[in-house]
Amino acid sequence: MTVTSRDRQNEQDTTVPGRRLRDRAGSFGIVFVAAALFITFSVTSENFLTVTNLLNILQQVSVIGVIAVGMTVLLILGGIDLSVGSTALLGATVAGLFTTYGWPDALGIAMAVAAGATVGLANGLLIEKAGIDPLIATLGSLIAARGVAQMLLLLEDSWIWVNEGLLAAIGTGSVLGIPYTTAVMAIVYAIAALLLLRTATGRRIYAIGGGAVAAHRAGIAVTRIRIMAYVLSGLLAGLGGVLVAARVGVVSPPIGLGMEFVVITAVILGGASIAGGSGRVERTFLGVLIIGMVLNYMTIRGIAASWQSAVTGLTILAATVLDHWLRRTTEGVT
Amino acid sequence: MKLGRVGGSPDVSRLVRRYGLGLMLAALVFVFWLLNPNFVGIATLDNVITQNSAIAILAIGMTFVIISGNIDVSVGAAMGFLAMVLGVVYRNTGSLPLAVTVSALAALAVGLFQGGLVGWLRISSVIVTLAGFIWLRGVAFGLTSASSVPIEGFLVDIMLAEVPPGIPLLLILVAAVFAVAWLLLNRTRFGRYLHAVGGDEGGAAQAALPVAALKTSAMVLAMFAAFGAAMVETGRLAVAQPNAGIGFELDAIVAVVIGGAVLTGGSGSLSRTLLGVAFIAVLNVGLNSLGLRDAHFLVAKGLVILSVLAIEVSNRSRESAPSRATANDRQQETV
Repeated sequence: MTVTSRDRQNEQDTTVPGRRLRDRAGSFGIVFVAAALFITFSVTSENFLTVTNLLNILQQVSVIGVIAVGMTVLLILGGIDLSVGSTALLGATVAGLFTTYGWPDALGIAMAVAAGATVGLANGLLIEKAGIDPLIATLGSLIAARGVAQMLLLLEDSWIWVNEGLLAAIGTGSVLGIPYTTAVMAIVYAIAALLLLRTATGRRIYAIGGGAVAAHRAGIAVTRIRIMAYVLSGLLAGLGGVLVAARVGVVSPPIGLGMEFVVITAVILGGASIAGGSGRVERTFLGVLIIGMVLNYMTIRGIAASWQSAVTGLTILAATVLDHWLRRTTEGVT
Repeated sequence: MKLGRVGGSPDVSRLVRRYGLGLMLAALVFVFWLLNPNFVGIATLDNVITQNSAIAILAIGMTFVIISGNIDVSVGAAMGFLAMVLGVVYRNTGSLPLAVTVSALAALAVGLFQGGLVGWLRISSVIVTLAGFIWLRGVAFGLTSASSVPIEGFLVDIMLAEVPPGIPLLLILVAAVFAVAWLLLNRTRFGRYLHAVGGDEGGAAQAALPVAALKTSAMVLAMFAAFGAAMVETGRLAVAQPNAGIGFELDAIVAVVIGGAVLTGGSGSLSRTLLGVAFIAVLNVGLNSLGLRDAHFLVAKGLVILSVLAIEVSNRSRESAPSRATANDRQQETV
């Protein structure tokens, strides 16, 4: 096990009193921000508050939503994964190639998820066994995984149509009015919430986040759990890639570019700390929704894509500052 | 807990630690030369310098930020933003000196803004500069609806000039930036304090160091580096582009880390950062000279960087076993 300064910081964190209180204040902050945005958008645009549009938002955020679950677990553990965008492209490419070659779609989806898990395993081993800093190791695999995916895409001149078969059905179909991609996201969140809040593994994950050294002394397999978390992150990124291919209907190199940044901001908006130890999937989901709502609202208002990302970045910053400020005031400590 | 191997042959491992990166750089040049005998030549040296001077400048600024215990992933996007600020002012006024000045002021403003959030509000530098990565690039594209602005004038001349003949002026400029940065980091109180803040923030605060101001200044320096890099890229290509510097933040951070800085702060040396830049530069130019397509280029680069880091990190942990024990002791005290 490698002791990073994050671990050290967490050790100190456990001595801070009122930790529960701060957590509660944090979740209050994000709910407040999400509600305020929702009300503002509903009042200022008549097209925002419609069933179709709300379902539309839920479908649009399904990809970053799924990937954000893996990132939340990693951030709780004090890790981080910058390679998820590239891994999503890899997953989309693998699934797309299976469809193009007429191989079984279900197998293609399984292979896409497996490819993602493999990237995650490589990340986990580089970080936990070779001792490379998570930011740097996953930066390396961000480059390498995108390269591998683009090499595979070259087989089909960097452009794969996905307009038939199981993949297309997932992208366009719905169950009880809920798009399949949204349903997949809901299932992933349900499983993750159960895992984190109702199982021994979940308690161990928070224990490691609260203090890796103490958790190690208490007999928790810190290294193994962290490696598994990287595998989970890669796996969900692969699944996210499948959802992109299904929803967009085409696999091309720009998929997943910069996605890691959107995912990480969603998770941090949800109150997880880069320093590790805190994070809840249900709050992450609120973070994902905030980003989804902001993007959707700007599209409705006809704002150009470049300004959209400018506003998104600044909104994220404003929400973080507001959340930070709320926590500080509630906590009563500076 | 693994504390690393103590004992063994300290002399050898110290040698490897000290010169390992240099050896790997030499090995890299040798491999590229084997693969392509034309690799070692004046033209290539020119390429290495001109194509990578922006990354060198960014890495110099990044060294300050990383020593202070933070990180700045927005410098690449900031290059696009600052290039377009220059481009828009130049297109509307026709005055290049004014455009350069406004761009420098914009760099100062962004640096103070991001640095202030990190230093005074104590928001994680990862999240602040991630947001910067998104909004700075967005504004860069938004300012001109994604079109580029051709530039004429001294900025272009400087980048093409050779003073004395045969030596690019750009090389001298980068060397000057390095020299100033080196003096700032190693010969001033600011540099000493910065190391103290990154190494042990609590201790630095108890010693009444201006922690927030120091962290902010490091991030302002990173933005000035982004400004310098943006001017180099704009002048070199004679056009201000919104997509200037895409992916450069990664090269800069990797160069600093290969050079031995630890992301948790407190350590890092400019001369080793420069060695890291040389490594990245040779890798970029070498892979290009092999005519690799985009995809293969990325795979090869990612794999080489990861393996170099694996070697470097294992060397370091072997070497620094005693200091790591000290870190654990300190941790015991705080618990």
